[in-house]
Amino acid sequence: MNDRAGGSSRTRCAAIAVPVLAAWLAASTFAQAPERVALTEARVLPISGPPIENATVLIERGKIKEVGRDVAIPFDARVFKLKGKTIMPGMINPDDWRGLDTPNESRPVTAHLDAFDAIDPSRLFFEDELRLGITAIHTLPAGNCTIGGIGRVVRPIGLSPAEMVFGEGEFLKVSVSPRGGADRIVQLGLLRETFRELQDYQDRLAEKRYEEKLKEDEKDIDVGPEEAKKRGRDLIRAQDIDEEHRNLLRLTGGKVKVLGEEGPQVFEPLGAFIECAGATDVGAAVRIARDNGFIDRTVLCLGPECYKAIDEIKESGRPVVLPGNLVYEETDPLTGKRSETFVVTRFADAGVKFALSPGSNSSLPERMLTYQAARCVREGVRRDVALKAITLNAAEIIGQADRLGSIEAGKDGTVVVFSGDPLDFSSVIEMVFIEGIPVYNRATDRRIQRLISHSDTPEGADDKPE
Amino acid sequence: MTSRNKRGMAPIALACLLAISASASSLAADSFAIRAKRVYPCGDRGAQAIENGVVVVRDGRIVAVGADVPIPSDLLLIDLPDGVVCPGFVDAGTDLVGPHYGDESVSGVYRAIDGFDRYGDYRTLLETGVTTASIDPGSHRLISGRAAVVRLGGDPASRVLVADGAITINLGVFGAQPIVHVPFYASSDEMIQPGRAQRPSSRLSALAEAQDQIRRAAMGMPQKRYDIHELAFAEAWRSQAPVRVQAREAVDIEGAMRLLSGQQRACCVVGLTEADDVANELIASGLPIVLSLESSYRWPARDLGPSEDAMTDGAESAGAVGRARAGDSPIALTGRGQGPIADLRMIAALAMRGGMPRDLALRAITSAPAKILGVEDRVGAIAPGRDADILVLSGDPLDINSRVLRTYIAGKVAYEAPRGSGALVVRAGHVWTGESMMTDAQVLVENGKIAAVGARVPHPRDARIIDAGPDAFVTPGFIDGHGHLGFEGDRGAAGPDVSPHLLAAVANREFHRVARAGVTTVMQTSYGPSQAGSRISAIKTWGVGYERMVAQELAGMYFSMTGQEPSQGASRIKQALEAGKKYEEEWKKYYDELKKWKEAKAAGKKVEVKDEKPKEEKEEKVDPITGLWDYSVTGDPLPEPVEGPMTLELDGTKITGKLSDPMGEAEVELSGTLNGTSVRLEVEADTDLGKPVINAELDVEDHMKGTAGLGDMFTFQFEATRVERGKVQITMKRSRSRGKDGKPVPPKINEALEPIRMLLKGEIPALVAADTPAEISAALELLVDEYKIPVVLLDATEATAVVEDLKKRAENVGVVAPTRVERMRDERPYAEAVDLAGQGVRVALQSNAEDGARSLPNMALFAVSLGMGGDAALRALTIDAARMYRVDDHVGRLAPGCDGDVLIFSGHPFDADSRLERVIVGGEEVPEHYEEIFE
Repeated sequence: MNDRAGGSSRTRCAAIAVPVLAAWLAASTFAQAPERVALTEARVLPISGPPIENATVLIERGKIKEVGRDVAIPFDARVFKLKGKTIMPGMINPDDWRGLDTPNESRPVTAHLDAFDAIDPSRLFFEDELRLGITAIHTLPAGNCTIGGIGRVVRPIGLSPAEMVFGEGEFLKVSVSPRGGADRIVQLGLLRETFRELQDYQDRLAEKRYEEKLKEDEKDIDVGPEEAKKRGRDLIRAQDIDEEHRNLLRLTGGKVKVLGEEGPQVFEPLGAFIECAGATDVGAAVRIARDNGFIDRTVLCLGPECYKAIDEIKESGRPVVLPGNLVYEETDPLTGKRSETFVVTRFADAGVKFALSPGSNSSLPERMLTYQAARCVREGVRRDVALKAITLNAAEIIGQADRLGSIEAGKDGTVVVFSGDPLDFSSVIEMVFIEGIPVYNRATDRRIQRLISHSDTPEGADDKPE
Repeated sequence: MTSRNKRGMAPIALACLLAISASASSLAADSFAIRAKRVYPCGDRGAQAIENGVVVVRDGRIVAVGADVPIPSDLLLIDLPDGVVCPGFVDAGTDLVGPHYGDESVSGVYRAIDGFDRYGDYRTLLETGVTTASIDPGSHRLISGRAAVVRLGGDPASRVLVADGAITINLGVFGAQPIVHVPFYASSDEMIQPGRAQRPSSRLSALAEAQDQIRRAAMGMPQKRYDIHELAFAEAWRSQAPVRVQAREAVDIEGAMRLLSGQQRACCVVGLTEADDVANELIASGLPIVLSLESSYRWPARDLGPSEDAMTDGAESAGAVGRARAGDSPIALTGRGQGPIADLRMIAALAMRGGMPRDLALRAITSAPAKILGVEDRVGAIAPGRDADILVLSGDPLDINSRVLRTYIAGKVAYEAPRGSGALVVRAGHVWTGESMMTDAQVLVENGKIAAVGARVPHPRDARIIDAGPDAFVTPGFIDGHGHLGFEGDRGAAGPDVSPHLLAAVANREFHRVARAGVTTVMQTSYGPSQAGSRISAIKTWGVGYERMVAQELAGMYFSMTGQEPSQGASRIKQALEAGKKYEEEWKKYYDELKKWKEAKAAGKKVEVKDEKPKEEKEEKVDPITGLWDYSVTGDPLPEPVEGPMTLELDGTKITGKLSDPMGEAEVELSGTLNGTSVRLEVEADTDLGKPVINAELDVEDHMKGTAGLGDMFTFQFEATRVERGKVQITMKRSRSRGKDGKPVPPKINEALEPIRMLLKGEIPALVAADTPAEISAALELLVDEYKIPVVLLDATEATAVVEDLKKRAENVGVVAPTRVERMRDERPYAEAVDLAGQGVRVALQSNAEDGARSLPNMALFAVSLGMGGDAALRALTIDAARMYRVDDHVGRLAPGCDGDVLIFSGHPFDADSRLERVIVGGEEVPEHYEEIFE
């Protein structure tokens, strides 16, 4: 697949071809997805089940049709013979702001914002993620906020946000850890204030609507304000609620009936990705979520220290997103001795559902989810648990498990082809398919090829040493 | 071999012992019993302590406390004979959290508990004894929010005692900044509004605003605009939440009293640096008080100024409040800031110096703040039903020299003092230093040595404290003037070239018994001296490692004058001394020449070397290989061992020889090499598998062990023993007195004469066994008069006859009295030790035995009963014995630099009812039972 002759002819073509963003070329063929794609003779890691040797993944119109050893290959299928390769589901980055232009707004509460408006398809970040086998990114505002805005799940391909997103956003970013310029007292005070103000907002709206109704009916005010607030609740229309309060209302489960002009309108509830930088934040996050009715839709985004609150996390029953930094470093205040804790093991041992995040430093291997998972295995986490943490768990946590996270019939034909085992550090990603479209090929990845050909190493040095 | 093992075990055993004492508590989970030297339950009992008190804890709660509490058999007993136990301290005014960053002058939204890190590591505070802390959202706003009460350790889930605590009002805070709301984003629809002004803008409006807020809250007055901060305050007020008003200056304290007068809810006033001005009114108001000492002593370089408004440091206030105290409204102490002022015990000490009674001061950091904070049913006292938040201290809680050793929170260890340097302070009513008597004195032992003796010695932060009490009597460790501990029945006389101190390494059960009897040093020598004398070592009876076990390697030379003509005995000693003198002269010559050579060399001169004739010396040497060996080869598949003789000869590193088969019939050649202790031999016999090869190691003298191999196929065990050594090599060695460059060559060291050199310098004494006046006089004349060597007379049964001779040479003569204290002389009972001591001669006592040394104190007691003064007996066992042996810079005294050997008696050591309570050798306490070191 990576033959040298082809490589050199491509080098000649490079002079006249569009030199950059090879992946985008693939993306532009988005609309012309091949009808059927068969990936054959490969080792398949379905994640939802045990590995299958010498198997075929048949993708039809973007969806996986069949997986197994004895899959009949239709005559018109485009066949990729992948002998010796390993196929796993596309990996998922569960919480990252880097697709946006800035991590956060300067104001603390910006529930009305939607990541959609800030997704910048031209970011090299997306190209990098694709190269690393990450096929879905949950793009959310960062944690330097109180309520940051709605996130979106995006593919790392496409020319516009509309092409990239997986539909509506389902989660608001909330932070219980102090944002810049605040402390925990003020941060939690503001959060409580926000939800309390929401109640007050609805009361005032209800009272106003009731008065308007009386005016329309040419009646005089007949009840006191408390009763008016109650009676007015059902009169609130969708357009009466501003964007900010609407999203807060959706977060709290849309407790009021909302009548639109086109009849009753139901707000889809929103979940929350709650940022907890320290162990002490976990309790506050769970309490806020429970008090305001969104605990069942809450995901905890944890800092390294949070492993200390493992009992509280387990008790809350909520899934968690672990930080890119998997090691917690601590200095003993009395002896000055430094100690390190590998945090993932604690979560795995406690049986908490978790997803791993890539590190944000592009020069460190932590940016690769396979590396993160391999570290976990090295530290004693079961292999299947570590693999789930970068695929299926993440898909479930971001609410896309019906489409992503495993290789099963009915799910998206979004897979990554490795030259060897994904957790083997000498394996490389050779191809990536998103919904059946071969969107990435290492052999045509101009940046990788340039890196290899311009290096001083002799030909074949990038091959696996025997 | 055995002795080496035992010596190796002692440090390991001790390390285990330490580890056990450290981990005992963690084994106990949260149910255990503590028995301590003293328990301060606080609470109702104030500063009254229970001696030898017991605290029983079950499931993290205290179930019983008292002196006669039975210890449940199912609980682990933690015995702390020197430990003092008191409840964890409660700090009613920490700045652990806050001030919050909010701009609002009045807010009920801000909760200090939100800023508390439940998973935080607060061991730096636990170290000071604080286990419960009040946290508030800050003293920077008029109404800054709600305080909380937390614990500083233990399970994070149970660290919060009160989440929504007192509403915090601060008087004396004014100049509130306007609140600016910046719209997102500003437009013509939503313009930037001018900042909303807040009160108080001056001290005048502070109290008014607070009263206004309270009135509105109490009446439930509707707000002009929606303001959650005021709303939350109003709700908190109406929920009857307690109130704490923080005020420092007298004017604000009066304001606080006005604000709180008539309030039915729980209130307290906090801060009160200037309370001394309004102390009587404050007490009369009946308000609970949290007094904060904002001490100026942290910045001694900063003047407070002569103005009357200048703040006091609070100590006067504490005194004034303490004196004015009437009724039972609680008074708590706290301090703001870091460093020593964060230490509640330091604050209590300052308050006591300001005039606060001790009883009140102890309550003020335990039960009083617990009551003020509304957690008196949980913490602040050791009483049944309360949480087991307990401190173990090295001394009394209000003694600033004691420190917290361990902190329990809800029955679990939350802080454990790091293992210290092992410094030890012994406090006692009477201390005999060997030279003088001190009352109410202290001894500091550091690194095994005495570091200080005095009325109040330094207490290193990690020092262990043994407070022996006002009746206790402390003395230096006792010295056995002549003993054989460690010889284990070996009655031979050791030559002058061997030193007995190596036997100290044995350090077995017998050593322990001797140490426990109070004998910490033994002047140890063989039973009887050799013709040329024997060495004496001063060894310790307890300690870990050679350094600690040996006080002085060479502490004297032992000669005998008895059983021969006095002149003959003297001439034998003289012979040894003369040989030593000659030897010393050789060395002196060498040093002189070396000095000259060095000077010449430094001056750049070439030293002339006379062509001297080298001296010739014979040297005999046996090589390790040459001789007749018996070998044996064993291992599969040999059916039985193959044995036979072989002869080997070493030439340089090459070995040649012959090997015979078991029958002795065939003989094959051997050749090989010696490399260090490795022997490699090839058997010159060709087999199908090549030549057999032997690889062996010379493990001990005349023995080698290794393998014999035949190709790769077979490997056998090989062993050989030399049954006959080869011929002795005699080499003639030529020695010159100077090297090639003219540098003098030192004389050969003669171990037998080395001690004589020391003797001649007068640094060590000669121990001379002498009985008759003739023997004694001959010894004194020869040694003291002629050679200026101090003499210790052993036994000297007839010394009283020549007592004047002894007194004349007082500084250089001592007598080690016979083991039989009382015997018949001239048909009358006679006690030599008593007699000589009475006449001013230095006397020491001896065991002349091994573990018999442990009866030495009884011997002294017997001597006392025969008329020797108790003080004289004490001197004989300590300073006199040390002085006569010239070891008084190590042992026998309690003085800086001496070994940390301390005995603690319940009274004067030679009072009949006195008991030796504890023995400390080299700063380490000798355990009561030998087995304890292995537990």
